[in-house]
Order: sequence, then C-alpha cells, then structure tokens
Amino acid sequence: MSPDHDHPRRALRIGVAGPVGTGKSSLIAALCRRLAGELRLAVVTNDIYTTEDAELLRAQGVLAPERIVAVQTGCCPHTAIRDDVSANLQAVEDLERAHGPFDVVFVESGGDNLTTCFSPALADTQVFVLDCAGGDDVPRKGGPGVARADLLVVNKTDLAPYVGSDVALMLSAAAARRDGRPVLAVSLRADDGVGGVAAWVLAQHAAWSAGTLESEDPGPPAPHHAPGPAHDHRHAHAH
Amino acid sequence: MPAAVLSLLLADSRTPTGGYAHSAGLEPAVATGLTVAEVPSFLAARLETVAYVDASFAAAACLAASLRARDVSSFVSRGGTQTTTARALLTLDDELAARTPSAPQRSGLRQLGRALLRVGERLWPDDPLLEGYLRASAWTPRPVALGLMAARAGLSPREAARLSLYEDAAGVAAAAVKLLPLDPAETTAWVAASAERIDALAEAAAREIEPPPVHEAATPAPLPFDASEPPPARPTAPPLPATSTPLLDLRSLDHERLPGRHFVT
Repeated sequence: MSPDHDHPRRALRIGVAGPVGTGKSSLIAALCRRLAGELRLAVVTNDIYTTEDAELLRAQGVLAPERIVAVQTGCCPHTAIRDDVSANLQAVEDLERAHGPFDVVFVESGGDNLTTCFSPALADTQVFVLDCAGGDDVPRKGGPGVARADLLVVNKTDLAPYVGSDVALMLSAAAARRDGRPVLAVSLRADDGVGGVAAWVLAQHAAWSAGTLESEDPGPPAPHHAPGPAHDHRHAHAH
Repeated sequence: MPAAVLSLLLADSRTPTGGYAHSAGLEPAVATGLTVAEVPSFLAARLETVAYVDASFAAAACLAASLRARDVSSFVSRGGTQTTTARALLTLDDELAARTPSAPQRSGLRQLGRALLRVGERLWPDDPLLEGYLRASAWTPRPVALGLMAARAGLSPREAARLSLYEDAAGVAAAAVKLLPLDPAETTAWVAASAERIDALAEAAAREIEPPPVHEAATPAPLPFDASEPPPARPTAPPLPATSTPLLDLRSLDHERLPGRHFVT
C-alpha cells in the first residue's frame, strides 16, 4: 500500500506501560497470538525483579523464544524507558539484527506507577494499561499515561462485578482526561477480547508504514493543555 | 569545548549510558554473602585489579585517538603491524577480550560501550574515527569507547583513566544502596575516601601506556643483545596490565543464571 521509497526500514516500536499487575504481559501475549499471522512480531520485556514476563511469554509459545528478550533495569524501570533508554534501544536493535526484519516490536515496561511513560526515543507509539481490579478511581487520578498515551486500555472488565468497580465510570473518567484520544475496555477472557487492541495495532502499523503515524509524547512535564496554537484537537469531542 | 566540563559530563550518571543497570559485580557478590561491612574492601579490590585494567585500556584508547594519523603502534603491546588509529583501537578490543574470560562481562562491557558511543555520535556527529570504530568493532567495550570519547572531549590519557576508575567506584557505591541497607551519603563517602588511590592509579595507568623515550642522537642507544641484528625500527611498549579477578569472573557466570537479579552485571 505504501510506496516503497518511504517504507520504514525498521519495525514499529509500540510501548506498553502501566502499573504492576494490570495485565501488560497477558495483553502482549494475546496480541501476539492474534496478530502472528499478519505481522512479524518481537517483544522486549523490562522486568523489575525477574525475567518472569519474558518467561511467561515464552511459555505461552506465541512467538519463537528467540524473539522475546528481557532487559535488566537495575531497579530503575522508569529510567529504562524514559530517561536513559540505551539498554532497551540496543535490545530492540539486536533483536532486529539477529532475527528480523519485524513489523512490530512490543516493548513492555516494568510495572511502575501512574507517571510511567515511554520516551519518544524508544517508542513510536504507546499503550497505557489499567485494570478494573486496581480501583475504578485510577482514571480520575490521571497522569501522563492515562491522559495522553496513544491508547488507554481498561483491562479485566470481567472482574469488575467481583471487585466493585464501575467500568462505565472508569471509561467516562478516562474520556474526560483524554480529550478524544482512544480508550478501550478489554476482557481477554471474552471471545476475541483483544480484537479492539489488535485493530488499533494494525492501524498504527499501517500509518507507520505509510509514514503518517502521529504520536504525542505523554511526558510528565507536558502541561495538560499545551499553551498556544499547537494544541491540537485531533478528534471531535463525542461527549 | 572546555575539556574540564566535558569530563564532568562523561562522569555524570545522568548522561544516558545505561550505567544504572550495572552493579560492577556487587550483586553477584552480595548474592554469595558479601556483607555491608565488606563493600568498601570490595570497591578497593576492584580499583586495584579489574578497574585498573579498564583504566589502562581507556588511557591507551585515549592516546590512540589523540595521536590521530601519527604512528600509534608503539603502545600496542602486540605491536608492529597497526598503521592506523582505528587498527590500534581494534587491537585494544582484542587485548581486552583476552583479559575478559566471562561472556556475561563481555556482553555488559559491550552494552555500556555502545550506549556511550551513541552519545558520542550525537556530540561529535561527523567524527570519522568514532564512526569508523563503531562500524568496525564487533564489541565496542566500554573502556575503549570511554578512551575514544575522552580523547574527543580533549582529555589526556591520565584523565581518561581517572574517569574510568571513578566510574567503577561510583558504580559500586550506587548499586550498594539498591542491594544493601545503606545510607547513600555513606557510600558516597567511600568513593571520596578512594580519591587519592584513584588519582594514583590513574597516573600509573597513564604511565603503562607511555611509549618509551626515544633516544637522542647525543646519547646512543645501548647495543642490542645481538650486535649483528639491526635495532628495532620503533620502540615497543610493555604489555598492558592483566590483573585478573577469577572470583568476579566466576560469579558473573552464576549471576547470569540468578533468578530475580536486578542488574545486568
């Protein structure tokens, strides 16, 4: 579809961030399973404490084991994806050189807090993952990932009735924070529960291949409303 | 550019070179029972051994990169065949590889060196030596990369060695507060207490790589052992140091298999 002359040489790098236990690894595993027939995929994980995430992904057999690598972050998961991305960049480059080419490389952050987000030097586009079990007030609390990640996923909606979380409230609070940016409610236990996120990944990859991908740095220092005419309402407000 | 300021930049852990993910062998040492009280001796032992080797290589790489087009074969201990600075740097790669028997340590040095050179590419975008070394070296170990960067920053081999030694001690101190119950002011004081030793070792490392003095015409060279043989075309330097640390090497192998490790090395 895209003309050969502007086809990017390297893979699209999709960052997946979010607090501990919100289901980042499971989401990536589901995406790999769903998209492996359409895209050439690889994964870099940033475990805080172990290589458990990488092992979980390998154990699920969704990708060849050599396409999944773990990066040690010296107890600094935030630093590794934001302030000093050198180790992650090398891991992605080494993966591409050894086993590429790939269409998409997922970089999974170590579970961190609400201020975690990827440097644009590492991720071309990024997903922030919350879950219903973590409390339905989290979207209201906000933070750069909640407000400005390219996609916000509210995961584990199947658990909401059991933990007293109000999914509709989470989605409306997120929408209020996000100024029209996309939010998806996801239950990986439902049939094709990952379908919406997979469609987003395919759309991001298509835009990347066409050279039209636009991604906004959520960065903690960025003001909620950027001053001046640069503030871009990319989507019509549905609310 | 003022070299003294750039020296601070190269020593600053905020410069994005990935150092925060390395413990200089402290994590595996703690995993095998090293206590809080023993960390200062660990730090000091590293300075005298592996850090001194690294510092000598940083100094040698700095000298090679500073000499540019001049003959640089004289300080390469294997000597003789290198005709360009790039070849000299690649020979230093080989020499250091021969002193780094542990694969995880080689991999760690590569990661740190590449990250450093990534910053270097941004600071000196069109530097042919930096570019050539990045392209030609399969390894880019940190000491050689640091020496090259130090040369570009305008630093002397001795300053390159000092940076390398300081980074080693500061790396142990930074990792110690993550691994053990310690006050970071205390670990910083350990680094400060090593200052005199770091300076002395930096001077010694710079001396290791000095080409021997060229004899002047007025003071003829002593006769070679076999007077019928012509004197060597150029002076050869003594080998670079090889103070080995078998325990650190062995532990690094176990460390790679340690579940729940925080650090790369």
